[in-house]
Amino acid sequence: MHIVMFSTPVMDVDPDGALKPIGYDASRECPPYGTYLLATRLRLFGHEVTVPDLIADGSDSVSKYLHELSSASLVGISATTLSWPTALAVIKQIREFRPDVPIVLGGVHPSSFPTHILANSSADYVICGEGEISMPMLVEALENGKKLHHIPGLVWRSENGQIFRGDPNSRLDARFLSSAPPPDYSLIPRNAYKGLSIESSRGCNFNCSFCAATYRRLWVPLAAESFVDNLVSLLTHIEGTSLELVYIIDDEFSQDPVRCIRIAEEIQSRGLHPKLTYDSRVNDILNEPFIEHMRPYTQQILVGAECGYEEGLKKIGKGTDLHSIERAAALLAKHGLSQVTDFSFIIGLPWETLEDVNKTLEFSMMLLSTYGVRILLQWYLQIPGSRLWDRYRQNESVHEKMFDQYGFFRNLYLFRIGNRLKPSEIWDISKAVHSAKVLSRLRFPEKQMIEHSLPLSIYEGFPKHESISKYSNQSSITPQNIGGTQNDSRKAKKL
Amino acid sequence: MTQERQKNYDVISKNNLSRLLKKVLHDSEFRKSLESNPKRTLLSEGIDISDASVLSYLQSSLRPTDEALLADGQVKKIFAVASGASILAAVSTPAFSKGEEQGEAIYDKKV
Repeated sequence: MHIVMFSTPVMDVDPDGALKPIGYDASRECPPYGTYLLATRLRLFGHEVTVPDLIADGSDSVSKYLHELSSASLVGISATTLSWPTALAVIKQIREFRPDVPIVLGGVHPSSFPTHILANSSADYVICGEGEISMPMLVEALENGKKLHHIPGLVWRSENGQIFRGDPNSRLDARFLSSAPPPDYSLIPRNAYKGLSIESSRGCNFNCSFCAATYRRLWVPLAAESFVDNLVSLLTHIEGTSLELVYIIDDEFSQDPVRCIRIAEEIQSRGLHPKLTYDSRVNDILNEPFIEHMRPYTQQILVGAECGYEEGLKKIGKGTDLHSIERAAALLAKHGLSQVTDFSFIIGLPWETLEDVNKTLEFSMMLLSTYGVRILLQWYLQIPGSRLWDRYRQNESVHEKMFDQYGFFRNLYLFRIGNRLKPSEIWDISKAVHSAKVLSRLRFPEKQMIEHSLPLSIYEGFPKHESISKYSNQSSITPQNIGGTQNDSRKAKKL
Repeated sequence: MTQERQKNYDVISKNNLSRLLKKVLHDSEFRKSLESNPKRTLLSEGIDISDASVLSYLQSSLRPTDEALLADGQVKKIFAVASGASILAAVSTPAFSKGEEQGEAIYDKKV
């Protein structure tokens, strides 16, 4: 069977009204792991698979791929919540060209809302969760006219519009992940990406309240040797990338620091020199041998610190404390890794007052000035999948439909519903952080040490302070009285 | 690091940076004063900036324009979101200049 598998970039309308990739997909860091992984697996089953990589294209247009689509027997589209509007645009274009071809969706967002998505798009199937087993089974069922009910994680719409759900999808185990072939990156456009993506584990043992990772409370690792085997395979294609970086896309690479040490030893014994970027946790970094062993291969570390006060860390369920966060920063500095480490903090969490946010700001600035680590300050926004989202969804404050349109992360309602701070306070915080950003260059001229942005929803919805009175007498803010996503106002405004 | 860059690295000490960051977070009057006259304001804190390029940088950067406030939308966690790991949001579009992205110092040219 000929299968065409689309990746979908995260996009938004720019100030001039043009649709462009944003964030991670604007800088094209690394290819979409899941799409290339599934394509490789389907080829092993003897299928012809083409991967129109719209992230590499930086576009939502399928017009370049009409030839491939004309002979496709099945189209697969992978999407996250952030790229879901792009996926909808891609589905629409495919339907105009091929009303007959079956479309199967996968990825975090379709997995979270399969019935909503099938009821509101012209896709035919959703595979919820991991697709390595279910996707080949679906292809076989479609080829041979078999029944679908036994396919794990499959949700589908019948010809009469009814939606059915197959058997539940169970997690793949460590043995499966360790023996599965890695993605074949031979077809990736040359220099389209800064590096290549690889996984060493899936899931996370924790269950932080803000986190929307698909698999929480269960971490499944590849064996260290298997991971390094896959790394060797990946490195044969690394020359085709612009910076030759290796992105370990795990939710939590260092969950088992002893395994990481084995990985580092294996890398060394095979004489490899990968430039690794990965996420870690404070408590893992406190295992000093882990840092010592990983140091030669570490290009970038992202540490989720999240809060600068104890009560906030407890509410998140982070499983760490301020003392440990500071000790981790000190250890990274001791081993010369502070310059390549970003500590990430969330501000504006649903319970946070201005005083709480200031505690986080002050703590993060202390880490920067004392240990020389970079600081990422990010405003909280409700995105499906987390415990916090579930709470708001239960009381019907939010709905998955709110993520169907481009620019939902600029949606003022969505921002305000999870945030207690006044817009004037958010403006003040942004100005203060801006000053800190500039002053930090007096000591660290080489690099921007603080990343932070005033939320665009606040910029557009409450421009400076003068507009606050316009809204201050309203008892509640709803999508209706705010106007929801504000593409039009954004087009009209030059930043 | 070149000698010139090393010199700039030493523009202020670790302790002074720590003190300044704390102050700009909590003291809006101090921020306003910095915006209008960075040299005098820093001097009042015992920090004498004499390098013309550093002063020029401070004068042109401390007053926050809309562009500057919105400029750092390159939020790394968007990667985590894209891979299904987290829920943080990118709030604006990336706007690093090439130089910034590559870690190029912004005021290390001799004046």
